[in-house]
Amino acid sequence: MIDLTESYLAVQYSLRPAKQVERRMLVDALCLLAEIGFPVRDYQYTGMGSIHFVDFAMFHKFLGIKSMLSVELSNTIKNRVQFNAPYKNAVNVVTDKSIGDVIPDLPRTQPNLLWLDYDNVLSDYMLRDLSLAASLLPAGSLLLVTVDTEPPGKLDGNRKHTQHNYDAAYARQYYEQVAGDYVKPNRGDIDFGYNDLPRINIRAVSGAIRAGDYGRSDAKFHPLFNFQYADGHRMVTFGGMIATHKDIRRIRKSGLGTAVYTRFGYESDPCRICIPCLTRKEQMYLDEHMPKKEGWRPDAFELSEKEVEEYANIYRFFPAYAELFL
Amino acid sequence: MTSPIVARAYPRKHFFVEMFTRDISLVDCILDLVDNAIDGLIRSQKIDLGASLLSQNDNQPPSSAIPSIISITYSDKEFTIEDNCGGLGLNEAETEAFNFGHSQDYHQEIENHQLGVYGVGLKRAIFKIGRHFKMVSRTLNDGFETMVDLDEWVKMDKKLEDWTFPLRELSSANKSSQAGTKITIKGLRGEVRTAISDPTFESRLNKSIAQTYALFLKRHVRIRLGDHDIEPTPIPFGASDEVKPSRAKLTEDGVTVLLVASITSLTANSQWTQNQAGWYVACNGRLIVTADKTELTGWGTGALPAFHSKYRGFVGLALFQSNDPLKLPWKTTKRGLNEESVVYQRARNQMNATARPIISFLNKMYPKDPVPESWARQIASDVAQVDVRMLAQKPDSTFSVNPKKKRQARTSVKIQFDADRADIEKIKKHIRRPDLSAGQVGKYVLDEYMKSEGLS
Repeated sequence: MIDLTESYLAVQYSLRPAKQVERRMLVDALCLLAEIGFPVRDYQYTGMGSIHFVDFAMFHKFLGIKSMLSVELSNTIKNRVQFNAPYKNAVNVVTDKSIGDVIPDLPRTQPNLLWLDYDNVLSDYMLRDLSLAASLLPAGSLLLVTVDTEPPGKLDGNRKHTQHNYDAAYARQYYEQVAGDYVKPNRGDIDFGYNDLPRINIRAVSGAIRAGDYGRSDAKFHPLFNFQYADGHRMVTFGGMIATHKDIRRIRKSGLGTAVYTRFGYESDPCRICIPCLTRKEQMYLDEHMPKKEGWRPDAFELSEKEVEEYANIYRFFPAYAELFL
Repeated sequence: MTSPIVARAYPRKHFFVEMFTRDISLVDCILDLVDNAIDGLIRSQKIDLGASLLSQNDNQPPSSAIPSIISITYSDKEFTIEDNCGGLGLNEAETEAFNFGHSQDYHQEIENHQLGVYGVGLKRAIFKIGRHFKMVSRTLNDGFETMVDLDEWVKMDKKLEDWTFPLRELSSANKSSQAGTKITIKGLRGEVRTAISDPTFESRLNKSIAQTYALFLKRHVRIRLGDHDIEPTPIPFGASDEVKPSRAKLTEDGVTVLLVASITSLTANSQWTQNQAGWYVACNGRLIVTADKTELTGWGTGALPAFHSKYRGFVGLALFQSNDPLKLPWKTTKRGLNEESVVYQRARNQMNATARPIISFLNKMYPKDPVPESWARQIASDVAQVDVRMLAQKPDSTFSVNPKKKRQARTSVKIQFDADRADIEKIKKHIRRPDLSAGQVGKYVLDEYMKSEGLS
C-alpha cells in the first residue's frame, strides 16, 4: 500500500479541465438518477479527497450529499489533509487507513457512492478493493474507479517507462502480474501496445468487479461510465451501479442512455473527453450555436469537424477559468 | 398398439460396493459413521444444534460425566464402532436408513439440524471397510439386527427387490444409556488392513476427529479411540484488550452463516504456525474444511491476496447452519465445499470483508522495510487464545486493533542490501579497518556520508 500520491503537489486540481469535465458529467448523471427516483442526496460519498476536495465540494453543493468520507492514507501530511477538509459537519476524513480498508465498514443499509480515484497505474491491491466493493455495496450504490493508463513501472536502470521508450513485453509482463486472470491469457506482446493500455485497464477493472459481484443474487454491477481523458497522463474512469433488475429497467427507461457520456456495456467504446484548444472569444462564439445542428461548422474561423464535434460533446460541462485578484 | 421403447437405468450393486467407495478416504468414512451416531443423539435427545453449539454454558459437566459415548476400535481382523447415542428405530431401518439416498419427503420431515445429508455415508463406509457387517441397534421403543455377507449380496442383482438387507427384530433398550448402535465390520479389505497398519493412522484419525467435532466434544458427546478419550482441538482464535476479532452473521435461503475471524494466539515458542492458519468451514457444527489457504476460501481471487507466509497469523471460521442439511454447502464426502452453492458464494463475499482488516494488520507487521519488534508485533504477542463460543455471543463487529499501552515509536529502520564483496574489501582497505564486518562497513559509509554532506 502506498502513501498519498504526490500528484496533489504537481497539479492544481481544480485546473485540470478534462478531469473537471468528467466530474461535471458525473454530477449531471447523478442529477438524472435523482430525477428517476434514486435518493442520491442520501447516498454516502466515499472518495479520496487529497488536499483539494474538489469532488466533495461539487457533490455537496450540486447534489446535496451531506454524508461524506475522504480516505487518504498519509503519514506525512495528515494535518494538511484534515486542515483542508471543507464542510466539517458533512465531511469526515480518515488518514490512517487505505480506502480498501474502509470498504467493509461502509453503510450496508443505505446506498453509497464510492469513487476509488487512484492516480497511479493499476496495481493488484486496487483490483482487490474493487472486488470487495462490488461484493459488499448495497443495491443502488454507485462504484467508480479511476486509474492512470500510462506505461507501467520502470525499465532497466530505473528509467521511467513512457510512450517514447515503450516496451510492450514489459507492459504485458506487468499487467499479467498485477491483473492475472482478468487480462485474457495467451495474448501476445502485440496486444499490449501503448494504445491498448486503456482497454487493458478497463478489462482488468471490470474483471475485478465481476469477480466481486459473482456471488450476489440481490444485485449485479451495471456499467454506466467509461471515460478516457488526459490532463497530462492518460486516465480512465470506469463505473456503474450495483443494480437490481428493477434498477436496470428504471435506468434504461430514463434519459441517461441518451446522454453523451454514458456507456452501458463492459466493451463499449469509451467516452473520450477531449478538450479543444480554444480562445475565450472562440468559445463564446461556439456557445452561441450550441446545441449545434447536424453538420454545423463555424464561418468566422477555421475549426475541423472533429474539433467542433468534441466541443459539442463537452460544452455543457466545460469549466471557465479566469484570474481573480483577491 | 406397440409398447414404448425404454432404456434401462437400473442401479448396480457392483458399482456401489466397488467404485462408489473410491471417492472417499478411510478416515472420512469413519467420520461418516461418527456422524450417524451423533445424529442418533440429536434425534433421541432433541438437541437443537442451532441454539446449543455456540452457547456458553458455565455449568458444563466435566467431560467424564457426559453419558453419550462413541467408541471406535479396530484391528486387522475387524472394525467396530459402538455408541449409546439413542439408536436407530426399526421403522427407520425398514424404510429409510439403508436406502441409497434419501427421498424428498425425508428432507421435509427433518426438524433439527443434523449431520446426515445425502443418505449414502453409512453404506459407503461399510462397503469401503470390509465384506461382512453386522449392525445391532436399540432405541427405547424397539430394536433390530442385520448381518450381511456383501459378496453374496452383490451376486443377487436382478430386480429392485434384491436391494434389501434382512432385518431381525430385537427387544428395546431398558434405559437410555443402553440405547445405541453397534456396527461390526469383518473381512477387512486389503487396502484398509494396509492403511490401519500404518503407524501414523491412529494419530491422523485422532487429529481428524478432534478437529472435525471440536464443537461437540466435551459438550454433547465423548468419542473414544481405542482406550482413550479424544480431546477437542479448538480453532486457535486470539483476542486481547487491544485486539477485537471480527464477527458477522448473515442469512440466505434458510441458512444462517456466522463468521468469526481474528489473529491466532502465538504458540509456546512465540511463533505462528502456518498449518493452523486460514479459513475453517463448518456445517451444523461439523468441520468440513480445515485451515484453508486456497482459492476455495477466496485467497488469491477477487478481494483477497494469495496466501503468503506473512498471513500465517490469520484464522477464520465460517459456520453454516440449517434445519435442512441439503441447503448447506457440503459435498457428499463432507470434506471440502460445494463452491457453486449460492449460499457459499454469498458467504464468501462476506468472508473476504471479514478477513480484510486482519490482512491489513498483518501487512503492517511485515512492512517492506522491516522494523524489529514493530508495534504490531508487540500487540500480536499479547494475544491469548479464546473460545469461539465466546466470540459467537458478541454483536457484529469488524476486526480492530486499539493500542492501549503507550509504545515507543521506533525512529530507526533496518537496511539490508546486496553489495559486491570486492567493494567491501576495497573500503576496508581504504579506511584501514580490516576488522569491520560488512554490516559495519555499510554503517560506516552512511555515517561518513551524513558527516561529509553536513547532514548529521
